[in-house]
Amino acid sequence: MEIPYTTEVRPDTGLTNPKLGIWLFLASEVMLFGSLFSSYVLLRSGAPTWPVQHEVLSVPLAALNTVVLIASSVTMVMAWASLAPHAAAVRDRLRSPNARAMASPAEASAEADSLKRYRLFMGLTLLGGAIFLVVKAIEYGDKFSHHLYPATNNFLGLYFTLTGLHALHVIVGMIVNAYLWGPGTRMWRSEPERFANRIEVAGIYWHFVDVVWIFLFPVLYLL
Amino acid sequence: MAHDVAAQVRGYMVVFGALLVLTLATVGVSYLRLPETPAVLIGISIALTKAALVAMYFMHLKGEKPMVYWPLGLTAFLFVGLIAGLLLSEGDHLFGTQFGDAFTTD
Amino acid sequence: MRGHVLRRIFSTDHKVIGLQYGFTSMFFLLVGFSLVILIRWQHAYAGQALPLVGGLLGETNAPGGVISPEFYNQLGAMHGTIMVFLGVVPLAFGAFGNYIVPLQIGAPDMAFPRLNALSYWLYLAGGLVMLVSFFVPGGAANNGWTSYAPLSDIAAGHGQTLWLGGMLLLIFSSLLGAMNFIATIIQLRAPGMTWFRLPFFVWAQFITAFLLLLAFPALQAAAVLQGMDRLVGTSFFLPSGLVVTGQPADVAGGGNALLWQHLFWFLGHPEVYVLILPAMGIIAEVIANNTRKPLWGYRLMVYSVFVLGFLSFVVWAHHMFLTGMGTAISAFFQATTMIISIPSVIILSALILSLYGGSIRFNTPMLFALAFMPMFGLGGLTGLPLGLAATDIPLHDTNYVVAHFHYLVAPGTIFALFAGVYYWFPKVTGRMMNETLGRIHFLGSLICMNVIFMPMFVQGLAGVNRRLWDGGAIYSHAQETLSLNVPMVYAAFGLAFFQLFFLVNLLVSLRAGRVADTNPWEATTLEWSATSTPPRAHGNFDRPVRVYRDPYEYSVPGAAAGFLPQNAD
Repeated sequence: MEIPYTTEVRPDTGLTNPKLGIWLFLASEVMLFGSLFSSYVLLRSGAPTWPVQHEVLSVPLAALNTVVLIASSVTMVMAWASLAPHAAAVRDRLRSPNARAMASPAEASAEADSLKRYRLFMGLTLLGGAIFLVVKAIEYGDKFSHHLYPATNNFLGLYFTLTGLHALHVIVGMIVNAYLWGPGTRMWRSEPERFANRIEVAGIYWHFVDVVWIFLFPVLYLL
Repeated sequence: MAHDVAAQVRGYMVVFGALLVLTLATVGVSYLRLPETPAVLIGISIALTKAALVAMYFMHLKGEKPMVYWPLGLTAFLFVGLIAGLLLSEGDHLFGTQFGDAFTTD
Repeated sequence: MRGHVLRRIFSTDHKVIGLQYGFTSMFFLLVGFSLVILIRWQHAYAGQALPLVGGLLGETNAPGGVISPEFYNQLGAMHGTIMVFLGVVPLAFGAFGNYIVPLQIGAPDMAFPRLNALSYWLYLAGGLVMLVSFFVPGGAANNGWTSYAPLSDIAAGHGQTLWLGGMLLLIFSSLLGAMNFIATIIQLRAPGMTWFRLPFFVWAQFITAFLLLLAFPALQAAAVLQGMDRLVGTSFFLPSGLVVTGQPADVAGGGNALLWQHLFWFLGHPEVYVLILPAMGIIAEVIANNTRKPLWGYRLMVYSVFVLGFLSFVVWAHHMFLTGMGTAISAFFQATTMIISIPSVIILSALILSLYGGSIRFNTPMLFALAFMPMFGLGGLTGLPLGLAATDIPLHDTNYVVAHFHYLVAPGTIFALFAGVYYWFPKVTGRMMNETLGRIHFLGSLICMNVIFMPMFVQGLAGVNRRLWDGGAIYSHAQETLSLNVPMVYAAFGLAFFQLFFLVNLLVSLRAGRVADTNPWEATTLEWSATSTPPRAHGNFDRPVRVYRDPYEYSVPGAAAGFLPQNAD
């Protein structure tokens, strides 16, 4: 049984179900991180004293992480762009009147190329995420070795909570991306357009994780 | 078709460049050690710009459908409402006592 | 064989998931009810040993059979938590919503069937965590269903921590469910099912889903912050200089206890509209069907439910009038609270006006629907002095508040849910429930609920606080109204007794109820007119659905039949 509009857009809304779904989910995530940012503003503004954030945390490491995450966003959207234009071509071939399940040599090599490019860019995205987490681990370890813990004061409490929750979101994104880089690519052969849409939707989630960091970086490190 | 893809990729690279420049800018401005109010305004503005670029171009929000814009618009309004309600209720330290006391003791 | 069983248990069919939600939530409603019967007893006979079950509770919870204050607090906190988060919302939204919404819009299933299944299992996991918390050292959470800081932050034992963990699972379940409902209603309406041809039940569930989606994350954030306070020693909600039992708290301080309240009530207020909106939806369906005429003011009701949903996000601090907020901000929340009563009253009035000129059938679902209206009206009206900051001062945290919200949820929402069960039972099972048992269940429940909750207004007006272990017995101002607790506890026993009629009816009718055809109520909406009974397992509809008319075309002048189904061409 097919759920309509999983891959084709519904004419009056112009959307597929997954595209609408991911934005709805992100709306709730905006409220989640928004509530935490609101808590930060209240607690910091009400505090008689507050640590000088850039003296406690490492701005260079975080700046590096910012660049890494932004770069991984670029590679993520490039991963989608590698597939999307070709997805329509593969779909048409699979649906053509004489049902050519076998591609012509030229088509096959173009399809293989786009899959290879996709794999490269998705791999780079995964690498970016991994680097981000490693740097984060280094940061955390450095704090702990200086006996700076979440319980030490509210600034550190907020720092660890906000970046920890963000890191959890990075990990979840990486799990999804790893699946889509590995066993998930099976769908490229059978339903290429649906697969390309999945990459786009996973990308939208990944970009959101990047956007949250874009705010966390100045709020926690620079200001 | 190939031009579209090339143009698309060029667009992503331009945005990437802009994001790098803005990241540099926000770090650079922080070294100026400005007083709190301008520092916060500049920092948040740069962050909002970067976020908008990522949202519009990487997340394909530019040219997205109304059925996506409406829930996001509502969300933005509610986020502002939450932070405003929170600060206006508990932010006596921010706003002085101009909002009055719930119970006077005279 | 094993694969087949697993596929049934982990089914992605919205009807199966709806029934899973239904059975699980009804179980939790019984658990929550059992907890509060103990509270009722304690108020009537404070300090006396509990007969029969006293020994079962164990020496920690009830030494010598007398409910201890700590255990009493667990009963209070968990009764509220279980009823709201594990009982009513999963039944109203998870069960009825899941089963009926795809059918009423002409869809083969939800937009994301596997996420739907995940939602159910996350709900079950959260519920089990909550139940398990009773059996850990220190017992279950005992800081009210509202878990105010700093008490909840420092509460000993693991109960409160498990409450936080359970809530996180439940919230994640709800968020996925909300996303699913919204996407389904927007994307999977059958051809011809335009927005203003949707049954009001679907509109109600649609707005409910938005409330869940955008309000729950605030409690998610708060739960994470409190979890950090409890497990890692942060002080997000612990102010500087906090002293606990004579000892300064060994924390960094600098936290804000009211931050918890704001985040909690940012969810908490929309949550109460989550409790009532699906109920209004069910009542609308039952009334239209049993008056044999369209709803009065359908469009007005739709606009009102939009406004209601939107406003529900900006009234939350009316729960916090006594926390020392300034007069200006209190005036703001008072104003929005007064304004939100307008769409509420419009919807109630439209439902009442729908009766005028109708050809009313007094079957069991309709009896519950007819009672819903004055009971909801009473609950709503008694909210007005609470919404005005000045009159809230003597009433806040008294039994008046408890009576107010219970009128809305018990003879309000729960009556609507009963109406829904009696109404849709024939669609799910192909049999009718017994009318006589239904009427006894109805009348008994109505009378008992009023005997339980009406005296609470009197007690509250006399100044008796809520959540008191002895029901107020040590206070002189409570003495006059104390004796009311005695009829209240017997009415509670009575209420339990009358639910037996419902349970027996449910179980016996499954086997021996009068066989019904696919549309025994002669209803116009798609779940009746376009599906078999029960609807077929894959895809719901034998042939593609097309919608030709509004949802309540009953008694149309000049029409061939007394009712015109939405899909009949």
